[in-house]
Amino acid sequence: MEKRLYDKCHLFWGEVILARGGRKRIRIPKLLSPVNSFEGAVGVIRAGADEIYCGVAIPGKLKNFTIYRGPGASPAQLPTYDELGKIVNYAHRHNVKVIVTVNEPFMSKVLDKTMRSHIRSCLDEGVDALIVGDFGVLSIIKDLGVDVPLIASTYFVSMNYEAVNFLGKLGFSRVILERHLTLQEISEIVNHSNVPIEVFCHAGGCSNINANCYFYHYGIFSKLLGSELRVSKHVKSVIAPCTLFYDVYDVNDEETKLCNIPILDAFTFCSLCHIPALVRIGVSGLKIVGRFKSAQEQEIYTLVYRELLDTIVKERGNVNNKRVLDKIKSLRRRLDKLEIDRAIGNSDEKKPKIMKGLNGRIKRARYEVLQGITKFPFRDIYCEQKRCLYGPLFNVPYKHFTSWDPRKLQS
Amino acid sequence: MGSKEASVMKFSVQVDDLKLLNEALATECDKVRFGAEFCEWKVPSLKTLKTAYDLTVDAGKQFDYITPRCSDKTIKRILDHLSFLNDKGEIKVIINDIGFLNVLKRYERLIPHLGRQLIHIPARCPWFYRDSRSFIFFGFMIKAAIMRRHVKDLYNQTSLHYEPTIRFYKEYGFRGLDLDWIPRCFPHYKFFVDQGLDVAVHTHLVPVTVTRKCHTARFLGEKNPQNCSKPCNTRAFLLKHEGVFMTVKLFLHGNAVFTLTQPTKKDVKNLLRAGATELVITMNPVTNTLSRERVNEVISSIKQMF
Repeated sequence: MEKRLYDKCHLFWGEVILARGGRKRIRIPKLLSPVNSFEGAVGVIRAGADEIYCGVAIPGKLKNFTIYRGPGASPAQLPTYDELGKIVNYAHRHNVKVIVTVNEPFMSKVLDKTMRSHIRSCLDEGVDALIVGDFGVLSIIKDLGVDVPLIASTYFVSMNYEAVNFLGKLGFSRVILERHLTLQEISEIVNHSNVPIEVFCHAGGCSNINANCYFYHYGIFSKLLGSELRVSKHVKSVIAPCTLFYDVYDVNDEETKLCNIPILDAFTFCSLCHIPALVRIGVSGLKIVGRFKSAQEQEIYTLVYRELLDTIVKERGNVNNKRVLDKIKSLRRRLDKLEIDRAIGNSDEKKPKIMKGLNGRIKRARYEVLQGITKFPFRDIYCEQKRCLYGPLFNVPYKHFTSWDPRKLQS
Repeated sequence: MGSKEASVMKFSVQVDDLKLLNEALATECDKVRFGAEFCEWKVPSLKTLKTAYDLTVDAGKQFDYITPRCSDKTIKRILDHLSFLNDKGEIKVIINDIGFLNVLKRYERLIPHLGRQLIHIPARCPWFYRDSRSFIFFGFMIKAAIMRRHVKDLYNQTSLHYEPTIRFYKEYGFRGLDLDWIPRCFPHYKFFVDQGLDVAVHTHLVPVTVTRKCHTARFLGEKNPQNCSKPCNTRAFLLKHEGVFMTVKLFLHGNAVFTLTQPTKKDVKNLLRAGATELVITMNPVTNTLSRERVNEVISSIKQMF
């Protein structure tokens, strides 16, 4: 039954619908889901993704060159081009487009030959678009005479319409905006640019500007820092170094510790409550982050956002409708259930020593679920701390859980 | 080291307000860079910019202007600044946002210079180097250590070590670029000089990360970016995280996090050999360079290493 509902709603993909009782027309954004395996692709397509995006590990010596999540081998990448081909065939059979990310913000002469053959191999598998994050890679693509649409990655840090229009002139058919924008700023960009705008909608709302962040998550040292958390037997979740606890000192007094808090943690996670606003603003795509997530998570995130978009379609774009708001509430419960499932899957969880900050809250929520103390882990971890994408810039998630008084530090 | 290379080296002092500018103008520097590099809320008003320009010209120093990454609101303000500077003549403008590439051709007299935020340098990661060493330390990853040799050089390069990328920026009139004091990368900086670009290197502070959700402001309880009291003018914080085997030491200043590197004689020589022509000293509380005396101390200590 669920499947039939989605099939019906897919008729409205990217369609312009007339808002009830008004002249304004609203375009329903496309939903882009991440995948890192064939199983994941099957799951997100079943869940209602309009497009899927993935990366492929570059074979050979350069697989050791990992900046964020590529080109080297990492859980975020498909291991082989064959796997990509399999996904493309399956997706095309279901009228879903496949986008490949070649969006390292880095290009060097040493990488030139490898990158050319990588792009050619991806195109040979029949991908529909490429996400590009560097002008050097763009020059290779133009050199190769590639005729698939190009999408400007968030690594270009598009924060204003001049940047978006500039990328449009360079040949990008869509631009993914930086995460650190407010709804008002996104609205201004959409209104003044000629290029369709995409935004991230779930997970991965980094504390820092992605392209300027050198807190690389992978590697031995990050493990030694304790920034990698094993969620279950098979799934590893990387806790970013920006969410770790730091001893804070004034530079002029290195003897007196002011506090120990996750001071760099401004991590945001969810935009469920902002989706009606983003639809009204007119963004053309909603992108779920999580190429390194498990197939189950990728599917559930897609399902949640698909249901909300379909509800907005059903309500003819009336985004303030009570039914839309009720739907958001029920979907949050779905995300709670996902957290509960993860906690139960991780049955060897012991009582965590640290229960503050994002890492501590995740551990505590899982522990409490196992003990039957909490029923709403997602709400506790993310909603209560207002970890919403596109919220106010100076939100202070960690502030609610620490005892120091910022007024004392003002002096 | 040859005095020839040393004599072409210019010292710039980077400041973001008039108080610091007055201090900078009284130093032995050759140039002054005015403006905000990381925070768009610290972009000066047009009136302040005009005053800063006049003061600098009166003091007989060269005036450069630096811009951060910006939202629409700020970019509109900066476009007014660029119009003003364009009327004044050939002034170097350090660009940190690609939005400006869309408008640069309107300002024919300005000299665009690529800012640090538009250049990706993996070696800015505070632990990537130690990461690689730890592979060897644990011994069991001999294969990884061998593989590392193939990619080691890549980590020390920048995203501009690719001729088409350089050509792209040159088409937009860029004549130089800003880089960091990362000694391992110095041999690779020569590539830019060979490409005909001016290389400016920032001393001491290497930016590890930048945010719009300002960590300092959030920590000190600032509520709204527009009304921020700018505590970063006087305050900075040291952050330490005790890992299992290693400790990370970072410096939080405003909306950016830095690592600190102290120049050594060997590094200065290597940098001169690479052909860098400008050293940038940012006045900031992390290195306690908030007065003319401190800046002069830094300049003379580096000059002694030539």
